[in-house]
Formats: sequence, C-alpha cells, structure tokens
Amino acid sequence: MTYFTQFLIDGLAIGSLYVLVTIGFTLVFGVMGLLNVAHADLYMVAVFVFLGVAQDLHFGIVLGAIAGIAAAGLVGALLFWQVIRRIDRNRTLSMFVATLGVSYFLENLVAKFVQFRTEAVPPLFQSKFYDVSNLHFSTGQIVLVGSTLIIAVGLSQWLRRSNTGKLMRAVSENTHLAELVAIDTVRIMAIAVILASVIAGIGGLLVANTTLSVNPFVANDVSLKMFAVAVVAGVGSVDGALVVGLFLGMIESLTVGYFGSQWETVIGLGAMIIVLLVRPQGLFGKRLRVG
Amino acid sequence: MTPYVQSVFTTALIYSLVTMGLYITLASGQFSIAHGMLMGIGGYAGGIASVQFRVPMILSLMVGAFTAALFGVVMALVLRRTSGVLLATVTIAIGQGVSLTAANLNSLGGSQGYFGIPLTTNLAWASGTALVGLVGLLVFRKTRLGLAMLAAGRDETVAQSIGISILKIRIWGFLLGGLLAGLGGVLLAHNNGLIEPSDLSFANEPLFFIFLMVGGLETPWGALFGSIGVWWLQELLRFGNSGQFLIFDQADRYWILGLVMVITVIVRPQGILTRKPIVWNPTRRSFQLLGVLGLFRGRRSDNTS
Repeated sequence: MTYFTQFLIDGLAIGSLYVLVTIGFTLVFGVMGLLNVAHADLYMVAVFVFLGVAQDLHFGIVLGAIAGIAAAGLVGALLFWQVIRRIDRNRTLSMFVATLGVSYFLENLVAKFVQFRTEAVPPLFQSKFYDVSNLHFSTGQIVLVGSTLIIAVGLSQWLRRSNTGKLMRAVSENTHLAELVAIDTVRIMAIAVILASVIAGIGGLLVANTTLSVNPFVANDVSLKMFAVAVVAGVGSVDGALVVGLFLGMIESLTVGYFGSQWETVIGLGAMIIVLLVRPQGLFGKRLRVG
Repeated sequence: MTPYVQSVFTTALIYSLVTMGLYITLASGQFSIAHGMLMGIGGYAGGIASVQFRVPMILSLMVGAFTAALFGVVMALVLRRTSGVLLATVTIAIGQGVSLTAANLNSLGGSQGYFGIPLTTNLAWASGTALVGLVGLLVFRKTRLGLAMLAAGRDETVAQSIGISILKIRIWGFLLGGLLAGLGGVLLAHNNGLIEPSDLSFANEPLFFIFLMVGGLETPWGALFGSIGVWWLQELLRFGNSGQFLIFDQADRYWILGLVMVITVIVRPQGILTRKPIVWNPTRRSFQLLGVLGLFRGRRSDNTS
C-alpha cells in the first residue's frame, strides 16, 4: 500500500508536466485548429534561456526564470506573427509543416549551442524532502502540482468568465461566425498562442526544478504524451487535459512501478487508440457538427 | 564517380523512396506522419529476413515492403474514425510508440538496434528501386484508382458525393505509402548494416517533410528531386565531414534545413516542382523574399480574412 501511494505521488508530479504542456497545446488547437508541433519545444527553450541567464550570465535565479518565461512568450509571438500568419489558414498541411520546421529549427539551434548535450539545471529554490510514514516527497513536487492545479483551473475559469476568454471560446467554436460578429479573430489567436507559450515556459521551469536536467530534444518525448493527453481528453478541452494528464501520469507511474519501464509508453498509446475507436471526439470533447 | 559521391546519392535515393511514400499518402488526402516508422518496420523485417533466413536482397526487399504495407493497412483500419489533423497527431504517437517498443524488445536488439545486416545496398540497388517506385507512382496516378485518390486528396466531400469510398482510398494511401517507405527501410538497413529504434522515431520525421515540401508535393518528381537536392545541400553544409562551408560548421546544418523548410512553406507552399512548369518572376519573387524577412509588406495570401 505504501508503494502504491508513493507511485501515485510520483505520478502526480509526472502528470503535472503533461497537464502544463497540454493545456496550451489544446487551447491553440481549439482556437486555431493548428497542430502546433513546436509547442513542446517552447518548454525546452524556456529552460535553456533560464539556464543561460541564471547560470552562464550570473544574473540569478529570479531574473533567469523571468527571462525564460519571457523567451517562451517571445518565441510564441514570433511563431504566430512571422510564420503562422503568413500561411493561408485553409492549408492545414502547410501550417503543420511550418510548425514542424520551426520545431526542427529550434531544437537543432539550441543543440548547436550546447553541443548536443544534456545539461544540468540549477533548482529554482532549495527543495526540502519530507518523509511521512515512509512516503517521500519534496517541496519541488508540491509546488509543481500546486501550480499546475492553479494554472489549469485558473485558465479554465478565465475562459469561462472573462471577456477575452469568452471571445476565445467563440473563435474556437466557429471562426467564421466569430469574424462576422466583429470579433478580432487575429488578436484572439495571438493571445491564445502567446498565453499557451508562456504556460509552456512556466511548465518547463517547474518541471526542470524537479528533474534538474534538460536536453535539447526533450520535446520529442514530451510531444508524444502531449498528443496522447490532448486526444484522449478531447482536443480543445482544458478541464479534460487537467484530469486526463494527471490520471495518465499516475497510471504510468504505477505501470513503471509494477511492470517495468518498457510499458510506460504503451499505456498512453493504448488509451489513445481505444478512445479514438470508441469516442473519436475524446472523453471531454464535444461532438463536432458537420455542415 | 568517387565512392563519396556514390554513397551520398545512395542515401538520397533511399530517402527519396520514403518521401515518395509520404507523397502518395498525403496526395490521397490522408494526413499521416508515420513514414519514418513504416520505413523502420520495413528495415527491421528486411534485415531479419536477410540475417535469419539468408534470403537474397530482392526477397528481403519484398518482405520489408510487404510488412510495412501491412502495418500501414492495419493503421488505416484502426484509425478509420479519425481524419485530418487528429489523424496526424495519432500517427505521430503511434510512430513514437513503435519506436520505443522496438527499443525495449531485446529480440530486436533493443536500443542498440538490429545489426549484422549484410551491406548489400549500392547505388545500383538504390537507383533501381527508386526508379521502380517513381515509375510505379507515375503509372498509378493515371489509373482509375489513382485518379480517384487524387480527387479524394483535393476534396473528400466532393469525392464521396461522386461515389468514391474514402475508406478504400485511405487504405490504399497507407498501403502504398507503407510499401514505398518499407522499400526505403530495407535499403537503409542494408546500407548501414543496422537499423535502430531512433530511425523510427518522430525526430526523423521532419527530414522527409523537408524533402517533400522543398521538392514539391504535387508530383512524385518533387519527392525524388527534393530528396536528392536537399540531401546534397545538407552534405554541402557538412562539406565532406570536415571543415567549414562559408561561415557554417557541420552542427549548423540541421537548423538551416529547418529554416529552409519554413521559408519554402511561406514563399511557395506547393514546393519548387509543381505540375505546371515553374513561372519565374524575379522581381515579384524577390519582394516576397523581402517580405519573409519582415522587410517588405506585400500582398499576402490570407488577406481575405
């Protein structure tokens, strides 16, 4: 039983990573219908900028963290204005391929600067380790899970209640109709992309705070989980991403604990295929009306 | 030709087969991003056939192509309820999942890859297979099924309304894509002497898209010339494994390729080679290039919105 609870606690921390990356991805997907493969790379960019500013330039942890998050937002803004806006919105393939190119570009550019190595990341703060009746956890993990809940619930409430959030949901539902009632769809899309990028950046810093390492190609592994969570939850659903992300983290942690690490990926993949066969719109998704 | 030039051409032609597979799947309107995985499956199957059963190369090519095509069909059937961008998402995940599974199966050599495969691939095998693939595709485009496939690729709803079965098109798209990617995989395995799980992973996928998008995604020729051209560009940036080309050293070449693809997609979304001959208008083109660099704000393709 102790082991079981321990696996659940570790799983929550892993799941938080999935949630933080997926909510931004799913938001952009919902608003723009854009499969942004470069999304998980923003997570990596934030950590490397943090590393560069905080450690190599000796500006300290706080400035480094701010720079990291700002860099993720900036790259997101550049991605939107310089790449996505320049492509015809109806060419789904071109949009996807452009983000694929951006992802390849970012990964290899960063990899060149760090000589294709995995780097150690300094912690944001000194983690304390607790030991309550044989259960181990650290302040880093608590902060990660806590911030994830705050960000995800905050985003979902913001989408539900604030004016911009309502506009965003309108654009997500039907871009053409939103345009007809004079919603500035481009502005809404820009807000969605930048917001998503900033959340990915925050996620990167919080996760690097518990794993203490980062690698330029980490996005390839994170992307897979991001897609799985987004598809199982139903693309566009922030609440769904929160539930499914945490759940997937815990299930994976239990699988690794009891069956071995080779089965870790199979769980997410299997869940995704089953959901697609039974309920293609996802567990929390709305059925799309065609025509 | 020096051995170096031969080996570069061989690799480029191997990749061109996978890119042709990507071409036909995309042309049928199926948004699949798993051709690296199909290539790897072909490579594993062909490699195992060569090592365990010592079959001749031609048989091992068939085994690899058949296995990859079979896998493609299974994927098409399993995913028949999803389409568009969601289909793309899922194929990425399946590719990554298969790659990680291969890395964990000790019978396939684990993460070290499956090695000891005889080095039978040479320029003749690669160009012969690529030629067969290209001619096959060009002929296939003229058949009834090929035309139906291109129609479905243009507009699924209209194609369906004139009685084309989308499921059939999808199965054929994945089958042919898997077949060509599998051929490429077998050649790759026999070229390197091994096939690794990392060959199957999503990290390799952008390469094929770069080939296809730069070459042009309207004809099989685009896949062929795109692969050869971009692969030579990449070799040029590497400059024979040593030294520098202009101001770039060899670690720069990947991000340059990424940038080349992004710029191509923005400036010429249909790729360099299209079904119509290239119309070259230097003045307009250079203004567009300035526009990409953010220096000139010209007519944009999406200004209707």
